Amino acid sequence: MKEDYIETLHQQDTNLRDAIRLEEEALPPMPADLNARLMQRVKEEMAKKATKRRRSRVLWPMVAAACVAALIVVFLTPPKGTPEDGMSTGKPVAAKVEKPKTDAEVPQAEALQKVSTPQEEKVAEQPKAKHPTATTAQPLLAQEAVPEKAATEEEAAVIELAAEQKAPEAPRNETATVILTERDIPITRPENYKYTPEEIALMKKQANEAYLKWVELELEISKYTLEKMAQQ
Amino acid sequence: MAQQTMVERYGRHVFNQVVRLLPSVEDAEEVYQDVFLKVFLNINMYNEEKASFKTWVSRIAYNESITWLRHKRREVIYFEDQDGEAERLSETEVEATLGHPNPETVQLIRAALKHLPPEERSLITMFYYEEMSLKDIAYVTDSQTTTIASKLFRTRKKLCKIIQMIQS
Repeated sequence: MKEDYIETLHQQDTNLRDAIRLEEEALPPMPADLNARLMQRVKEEMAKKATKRRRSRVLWPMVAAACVAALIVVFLTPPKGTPEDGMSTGKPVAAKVEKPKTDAEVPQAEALQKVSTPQEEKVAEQPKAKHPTATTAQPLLAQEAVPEKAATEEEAAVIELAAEQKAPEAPRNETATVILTERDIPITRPENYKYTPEEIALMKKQANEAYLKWVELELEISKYTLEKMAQQ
Repeated sequence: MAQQTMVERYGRHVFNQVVRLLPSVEDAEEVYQDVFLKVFLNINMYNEEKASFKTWVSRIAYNESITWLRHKRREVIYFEDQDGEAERLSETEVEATLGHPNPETVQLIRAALKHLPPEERSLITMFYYEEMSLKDIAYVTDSQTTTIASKLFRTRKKLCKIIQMIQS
């Protein structure tokens, strides 16, 4: 209804129509070169857009190819051959060997040794008795109650070390620099990753002993139980 | 070539529409170029079932101009019927002012048109001068025909109120 009425107004409002027509005629004219400028801008914009599209069309396959190549390299690269390769960086680790002790420092070292375990005390006494070699120390250790081989080796090493500290020789008076690599650290040696046959044999032996002890214990328990039952 | 033809055919119409809404010719030139760039870039989106090509171009020009006005936020003072005095004017009063041919009233209406907001000025120009249908105006302004009809009624009354204010 309202819309129909509005359509009739179009013819009725003559003053308004005339006013708007005059206003439209009074509008500023369109600049003559505006269309030329527009076409120039259109050309520039189209060229820019085409370049952008072309660049993206060229760039995307290259990016995709690079990604695929990277993936292939990652998946096809063989794993490191030996753990050693991965561990050793080739960078040598410079380690300074301890300076030979001066006369003033020797008593201090002795005092330190005295504070340590009783076994080490005995070991330390040996060099004092002017038997600095390991050969003289070993019989001493043999008198000890523990005959285990591993412990013996360890003690022998301690003795050697103590003997070296006790008798600083002439060639060792100068400071020596030894270049160490990661290969020198035992934990990085590949041969230490696996059990040696000796270690496996030792473990088997220990397992057997443990089993025997367990059987003995079970027997003792059953004996005790039987005795208790008999008493009752 | 097709673009050149399009610009020659619809250029003046677009320029008038833009310059009507915008405060200066320089701004109108800038928006005019933007309008045709948009037309050329989005020509695939034109749907002839919805409106004629001219109406579609008008819609783009209208939207570009309104967007430009909103972004630039130019401080312009327009008449705003906040007390609802224009709404209270009777239809006979409005018809008497806008209908009966009178050169003096035409000049008053021209002066009053300058106090209308650009959207309303554009609306009555599309209706009275370009003789567009309510449906096409609704398409251009992205609105409903009933809304356009109500806006036209209100704008007529507002014009009368401004004329009365100028006369008093």
